[in-house]
Amino acid sequence: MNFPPIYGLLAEFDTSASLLKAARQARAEGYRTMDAFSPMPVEGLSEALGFRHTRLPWIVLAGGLFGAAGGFFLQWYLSVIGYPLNVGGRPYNSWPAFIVVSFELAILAAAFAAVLSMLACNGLPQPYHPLFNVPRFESASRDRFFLCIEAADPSFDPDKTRRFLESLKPHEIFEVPH
Amino acid sequence: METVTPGRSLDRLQRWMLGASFVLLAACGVGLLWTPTQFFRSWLVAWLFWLAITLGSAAAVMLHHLADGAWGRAARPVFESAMLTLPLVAFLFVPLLFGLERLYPWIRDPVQEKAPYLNVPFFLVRTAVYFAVWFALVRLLDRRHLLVSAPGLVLYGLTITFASIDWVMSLEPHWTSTIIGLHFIAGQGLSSFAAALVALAFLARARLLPIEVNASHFRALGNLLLMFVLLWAYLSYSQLLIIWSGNLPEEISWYLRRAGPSWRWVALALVGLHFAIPFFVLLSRRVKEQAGWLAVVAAVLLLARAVDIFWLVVPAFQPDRPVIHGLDVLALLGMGALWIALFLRHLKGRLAYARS
Amino acid sequence: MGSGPPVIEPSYTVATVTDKISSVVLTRRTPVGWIIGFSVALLLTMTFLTAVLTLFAAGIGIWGVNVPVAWGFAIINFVWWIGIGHAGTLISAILLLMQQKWRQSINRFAEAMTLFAVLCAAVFPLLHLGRPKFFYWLFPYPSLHGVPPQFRSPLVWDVFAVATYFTVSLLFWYVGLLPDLATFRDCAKRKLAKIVYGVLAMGWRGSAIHWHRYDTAYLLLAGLATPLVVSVHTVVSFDFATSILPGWHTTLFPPYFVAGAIYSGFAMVLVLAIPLRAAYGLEGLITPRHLDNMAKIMLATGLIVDYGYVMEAFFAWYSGNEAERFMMINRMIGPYAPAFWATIACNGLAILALWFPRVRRNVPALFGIALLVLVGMWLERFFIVLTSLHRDFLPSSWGMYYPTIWDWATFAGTIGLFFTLLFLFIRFLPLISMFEVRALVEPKT
Repeated sequence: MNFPPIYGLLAEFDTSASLLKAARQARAEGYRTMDAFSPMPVEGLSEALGFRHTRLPWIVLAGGLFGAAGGFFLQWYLSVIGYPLNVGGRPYNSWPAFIVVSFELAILAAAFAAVLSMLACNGLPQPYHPLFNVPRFESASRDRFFLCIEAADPSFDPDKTRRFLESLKPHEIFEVPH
Repeated sequence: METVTPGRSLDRLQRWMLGASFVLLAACGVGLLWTPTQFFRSWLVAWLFWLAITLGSAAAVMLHHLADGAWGRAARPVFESAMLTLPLVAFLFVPLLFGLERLYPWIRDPVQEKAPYLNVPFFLVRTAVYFAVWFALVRLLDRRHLLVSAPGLVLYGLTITFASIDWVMSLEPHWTSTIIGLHFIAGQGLSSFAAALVALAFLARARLLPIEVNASHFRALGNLLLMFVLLWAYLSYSQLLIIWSGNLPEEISWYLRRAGPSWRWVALALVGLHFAIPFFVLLSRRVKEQAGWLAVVAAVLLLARAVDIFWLVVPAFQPDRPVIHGLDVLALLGMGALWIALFLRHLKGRLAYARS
Repeated sequence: MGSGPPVIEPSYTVATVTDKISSVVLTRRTPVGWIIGFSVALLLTMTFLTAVLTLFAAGIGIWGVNVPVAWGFAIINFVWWIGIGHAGTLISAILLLMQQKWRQSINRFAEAMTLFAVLCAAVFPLLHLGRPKFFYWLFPYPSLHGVPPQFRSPLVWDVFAVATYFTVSLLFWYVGLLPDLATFRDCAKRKLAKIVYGVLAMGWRGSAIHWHRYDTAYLLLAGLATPLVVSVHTVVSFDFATSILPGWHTTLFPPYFVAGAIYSGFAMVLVLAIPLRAAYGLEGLITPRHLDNMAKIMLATGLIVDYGYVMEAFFAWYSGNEAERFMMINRMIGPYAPAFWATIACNGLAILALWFPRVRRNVPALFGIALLVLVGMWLERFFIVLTSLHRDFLPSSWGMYYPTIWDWATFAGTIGLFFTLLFLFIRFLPLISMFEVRALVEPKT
């Protein structure tokens, strides 16, 4: 397998606006395998990188429905079939009372679905990432903005890509080793 | 492109509504002579429905003043015009005064331990106080004395609570439920926001709005609608569960009349129309951003409001007969046509004013 | 709440915000005040442990509870703490959904406060079980004794509601912390701190696509947490309302309890925020605007609570029911009447001062009122629990409840536990959400 010698090229910007502009231009230039990094969410940045929408809401809805149905079934089964017990003359299938726990379990399942699917889609936890080899990248979590074009991109060329990045007037450009 | 002046198309609608209301209300008058007891029942249900929109709109204006939001700037002329129909709503209450004895069982045979509260003179005094407070609030809001908003909401909450006890709870004088005031407030909020959304969608489609109303405004209003749907469902379920668990004869009988074999289907329809369907549809962001879809949901909710009020009131009179009388429909539509005519009159003024 | 002074003092930038907030944990020396406060809190926690160990050894008889008052301090404190635990998630979730930008300076420590308060709350019903070692019988698991939980009982609903609330609040808090933990990882100087924060940050690197999913997940969590918050105190109110005791069995309880919970929760946020901002010089981040808005919410929810008092009194009379009327009279002039009137003074009268903007802008006054609210809400649960129990339908079974020294020790101990956890949180985690405040101060182009 032909393994590129470096992970990619990383350009540093001062503001989210210049990063957003750079991401748009890189995409117009034909780059696809790239990512942008910022210390806070930047409106429209993922769209500029070509990311359309996430399936997260549907996963969460499915989780909620599963929790509600499962919770109700659990209570119904235990109260009607598993261990029918007359409590204060209430019916075995006391559905008004079962709604409470069904609701709580719906929320619980949906919340877990939201967090776990967010982490899974993002590939977290991820202890190692080549970007962490660039010392300057530490400020991506403080006040700096980065654009990384990866070597895996078909149109990546060490010199041409570097020249392109330079044309975006970044603060600095780094090579990202593996 | 030529845009229609706000006057022209609304003028036509207003005239049309006024005409329709004369025909429908005349039919109601015939009903009064023919079957007076049924007339008063139908009139009460219809009147509560339109009162809810009027008063809920006044509350919405105050709420907007306190918790500023883009939704309010868009919907404000609509809410203000709806609130100004209060004189008409008060006028429409007058016929009920002649039917109190037919409506409220505690007049025919007084409930001894509640007699200090449930007696006709005190009832009339309280009614006068409610209307006085509401007239004062609407007048102050109309003159932009918005400082009244915070105390106004407190007064609104208290008056509507006691009004709901007087006009609805006392239909079954042995039943009490302390949540009824909040239940009415939630219902009125839902009514007014649903009505405002239908009106806004119509105005936006006809390009009659002086300010740009975009998807984000509709989304905010849709979210508020969703909030009221949830609030109503929450309060309804809380009441059901507590009364069901306690199972006390004077309380559970209220539900036995309303969710027993004859009225069960109406109750289930409410669960679907008033909660489940709007809830799931309003979860979708796409629906909330499209005025047309949102208006459809709001219209369904208005229908659900009518069913809810019907379900609250009518089983008190006919626990075994979940049937709609022709007069129910005539009164609701006749009153509505008149209400809409007056609403449009105020709305035209507001739109023209905002445009200039 | 749209106009008024700025949310964050305008001199802050993206970098200085980060430094200001992270310096509290990473670079500044531990202040003396912290050490003193932590020591006092720890001492109280020791009291708590002593009280609990004594309880385990001697049994529930060391408390004042007995027939007819089987629910004493344990339930009062449970309801009080769990109510306080409502503001955190509410500030985070509802204000996020309503796009109220002022939430971002207070949501983090309010959420932490929620977690600790819920923890303190959950202790009480478990201790009150009598045989706390069998607490796991409350969960539906395929047990050998074959008896599943009784799902028609509100006490089982409590287990699910509180457990879900704690879990979801923890998830919400952790997800909110994730980007800030990455900042700490990158800013920390010492190796151990780098490793610990690095592990907790899970390799977060601020990728745009990650942010996109993160925002969606955070909003969805907020949407889930909002009805959850409401449901928790609703279920707590069901503990009372689904019975048939006068004073407990009333349909207004769910919304009235929820309003009271939010009300006391905001009071606790104010009680914590006011000293914190002074101690760490955070007045530019937690501004008068924050205090003013919280005071307004406290006033609004407090008025709903007052509405509840009015309705309870009116309906006790209107119902015509002898037992209901007696309960209300007993509340007002019976042996526990001082608690009732003190509650009215705190929740009914003291908060009326918040109508005036001048009071809302006066920090010491606000602090005092918030403290009164916390006292008032504790007393409210005191009279709700006690007056209905100690004199019910049968005069021959009437009795009194007097808390013992162990009741007080357990209660004071949970306050110690709460503050111990809070002090640890302040010392080791960012007490203001850095990434959200950064988004606030970044100049928009």
